[in-house]
Amino acid sequence: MRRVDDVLTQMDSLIDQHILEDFIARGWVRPMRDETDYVFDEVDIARIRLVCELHIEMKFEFDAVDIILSLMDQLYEAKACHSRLAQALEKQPKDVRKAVIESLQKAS
Amino acid sequence: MNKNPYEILGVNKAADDNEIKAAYRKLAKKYHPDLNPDNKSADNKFKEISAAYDFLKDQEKRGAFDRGEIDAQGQPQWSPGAGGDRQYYRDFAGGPGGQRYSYSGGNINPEDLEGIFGSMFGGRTSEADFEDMFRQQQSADVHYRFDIDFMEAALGVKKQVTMPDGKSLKITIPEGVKDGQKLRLKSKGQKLQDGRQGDAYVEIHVRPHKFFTRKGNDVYSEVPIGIHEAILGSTIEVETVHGLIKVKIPNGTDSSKKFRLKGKGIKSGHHYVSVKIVMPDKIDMDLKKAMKDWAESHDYNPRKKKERAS
Repeated sequence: MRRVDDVLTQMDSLIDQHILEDFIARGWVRPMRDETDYVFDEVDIARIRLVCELHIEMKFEFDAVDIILSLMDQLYEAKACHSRLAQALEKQPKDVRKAVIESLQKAS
Repeated sequence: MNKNPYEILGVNKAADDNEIKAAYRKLAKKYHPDLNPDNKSADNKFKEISAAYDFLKDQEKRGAFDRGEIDAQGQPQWSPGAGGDRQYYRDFAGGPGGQRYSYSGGNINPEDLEGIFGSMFGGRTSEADFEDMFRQQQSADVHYRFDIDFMEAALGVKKQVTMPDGKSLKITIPEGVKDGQKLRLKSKGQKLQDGRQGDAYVEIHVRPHKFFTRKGNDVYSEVPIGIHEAILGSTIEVETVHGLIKVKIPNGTDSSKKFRLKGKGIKSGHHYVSVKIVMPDKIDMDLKKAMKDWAESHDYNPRKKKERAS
């Protein structure tokens, strides 16, 4: 878990505290918070780096970043859902799996 | 042969900083791994583009390269794969941490899967079914993660925390909460447009303790004792989650001997303390002489005892 200062150092001073707080206020980054300040874990760091690349390096405007992140989050959620479905199918007997595959082939 | 950084970005050597930046942006938008979650080659391509851009935006390196002072591969200064491995958001998005950024907080219920099944089996799902499926996936529940100390988990604690959306929540963490346990805070989630009020789920992560480990509600620790205390017996103080407890060490206590401190664990659990016999920092003449005298007058070999037992 990292604090604000650690995150700013890790981002090679690409952003300052004010910008980081703006990312949080926009809901682009959602760190946890304890009694004293924000705490960031690995997923938050990766998210901040992504937002920096989208907004600062690639120059996507605020609205565009909103849309990209929203679509991306929905995409990853759909992928997680399909992965769960695949896991559930894997646990089924062979004849059930075969029937599902055949149905999929017919449907496509 | 590796391409040089100009070729990678698709610009000529006379390109100015703005042209290089524009070329990088165009390629980065196309190949960023987080925007290409299923494209494994995007990772290498993006790494190559980033390395080329980092190289060319450094005037000193670019000048040295242009003057031919470093070769096309730029060894050791230039390498298309420079920058090492990094983790992208997509590496975490499907994991537990990614749930905080998902729409439904990672909740996928069997009904959702049935809806997807329907959509996979061509035409048997009506538009109304899709709307229903979408409504179900739009969960009003929110999920958070919260780290606490071992002692806070053992004894319980009240915390006031500010969540990412700015809301302040009072959390009563019950005595004996386990690592990974989820607490439900009723009606503390988000309110959807259709009026549904969700709950907040806080996943508790317990930081390890320096001395204590835990199995269920029992706590385990190790305490060092001197050889004199092991031989002659002693009363020592042992740290537990409830504070210091006096423990009587009988004479002739073996190393690794475990003592149960009843009810001194978490909730109704016990504390198990193992003793570890520790030699003095310096074995002086007095100790050596006492041991030598004792060894000479006694036929004692602990390995013989072990052989008889086997």
